[in-house]
Amino acid sequence: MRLIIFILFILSFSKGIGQKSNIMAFEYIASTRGILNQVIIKKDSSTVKTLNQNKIIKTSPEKWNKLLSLVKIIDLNTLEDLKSPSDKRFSDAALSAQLNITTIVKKYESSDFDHNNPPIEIKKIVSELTIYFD
Amino acid sequence: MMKKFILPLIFIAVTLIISCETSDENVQEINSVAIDMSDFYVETNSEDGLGKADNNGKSKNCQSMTVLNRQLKENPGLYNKMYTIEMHTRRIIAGKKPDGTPGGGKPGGGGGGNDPTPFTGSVIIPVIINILENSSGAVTPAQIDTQIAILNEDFNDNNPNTSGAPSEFAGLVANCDVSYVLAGVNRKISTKSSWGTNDAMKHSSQGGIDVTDPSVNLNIWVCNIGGGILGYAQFPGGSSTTDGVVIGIDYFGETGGVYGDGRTATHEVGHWLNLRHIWGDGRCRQDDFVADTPSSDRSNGGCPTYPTVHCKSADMTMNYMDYVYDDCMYMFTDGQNDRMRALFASGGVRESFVN
Repeated sequence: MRLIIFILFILSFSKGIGQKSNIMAFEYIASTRGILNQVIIKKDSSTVKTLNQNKIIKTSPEKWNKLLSLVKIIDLNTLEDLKSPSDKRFSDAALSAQLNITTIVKKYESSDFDHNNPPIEIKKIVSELTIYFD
Repeated sequence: MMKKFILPLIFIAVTLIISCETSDENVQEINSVAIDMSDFYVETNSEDGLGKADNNGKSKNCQSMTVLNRQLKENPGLYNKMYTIEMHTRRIIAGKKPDGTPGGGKPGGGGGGNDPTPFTGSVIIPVIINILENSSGAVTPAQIDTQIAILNEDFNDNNPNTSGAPSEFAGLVANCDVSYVLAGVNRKISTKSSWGTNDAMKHSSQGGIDVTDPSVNLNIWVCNIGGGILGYAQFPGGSSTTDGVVIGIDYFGETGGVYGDGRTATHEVGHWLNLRHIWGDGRCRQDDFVADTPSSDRSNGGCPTYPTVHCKSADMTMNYMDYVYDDCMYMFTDGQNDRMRALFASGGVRESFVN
């Protein structure tokens, strides 16, 4: 029994198996000095946060399903190694952004990238998350 | 499936052991000739994944070297310039003897030639203010005067808040001995409310004001940037036509609010003098290339209470290169000072300011 649990645990970290079937939340954070743009989307509700407001809205089934379909093309294990196409955030010319995806097993955190210029691999899903701020 | 998972792990481990032996030697050679550049980055890369397989930092060096080589191929222009500046900076800092090191002699250099050390005298920086405003005088003379005064305060260890430094950091506070002198003010009327961060304000052809000789002047552009951005900078090594910093009108000099004490400029001028963000713009192991600043994996905002712990140590949230409120930042470290001063040393990219 223990062996089976162990194998299942290992499998859950493996590419393509299990990692996307149990997604709990999508999170996008972009911040710099004086600015915070954060959105956390769960199946039922979404939280949109800035320095001045904290808004909770209902998540539409269409939105949730769209995100689930977009995450299918992403290997979550590679999120932390994604290469940022630009580095304006190093000298404050862009917000520093991060995409986090939480499953039942763990939270996958992306490497940092410039807000408005995400790595190509996550461009589509990021554009679904940034519409709350534009 | 188990096999499939474990085999790559073994492969990675073996590769690390083999490939890192050489980098180990390089590290030891720092004291003689070679400068270890293996952790240099322009672009962020997360190394935590590989790093966890190894506790002594070797994997970081190896992984980064791969990244560095790739970047050299992809962006040879700017990247090479920044790499060269970084190499020079490290040679200068390595040449400076750590306090308390016995024997005074400089490390014997294989190639002959003395390793220069960070510039030690007072540095005086003439400042040109380039103002883009919607009506004449919208940016007041008081804003200009207070901004120059605040820069002088912060770069000469005269910020009154510094006395509140926690004992852990109090001994690291640097008097940078860098002074700023107003050398000229250029004004231009513009109704543009959002100049963005693509340097349009630095070109008359795009409605802005052209740079004034950046080899001997710090150019500060003051305009409405938009998008909530308070200010931005350009690191040494970038184009000379855009060399300088940009500060939003509402955050220039003494204005009002939590970003109204003129420290946006202190932070941006820190970048202009080659300082990185104090958390290194990445996870715990990505460094700001300064030895005496603690490692962190994030910026801090607002006015944090001490200690704010990340990466198993208290963040130096009060450093000018974090993202806190103006009143809550009050120090550069000795290591940051060395890094800035390397630019003014012989062969440094801003040497022309002191000659």
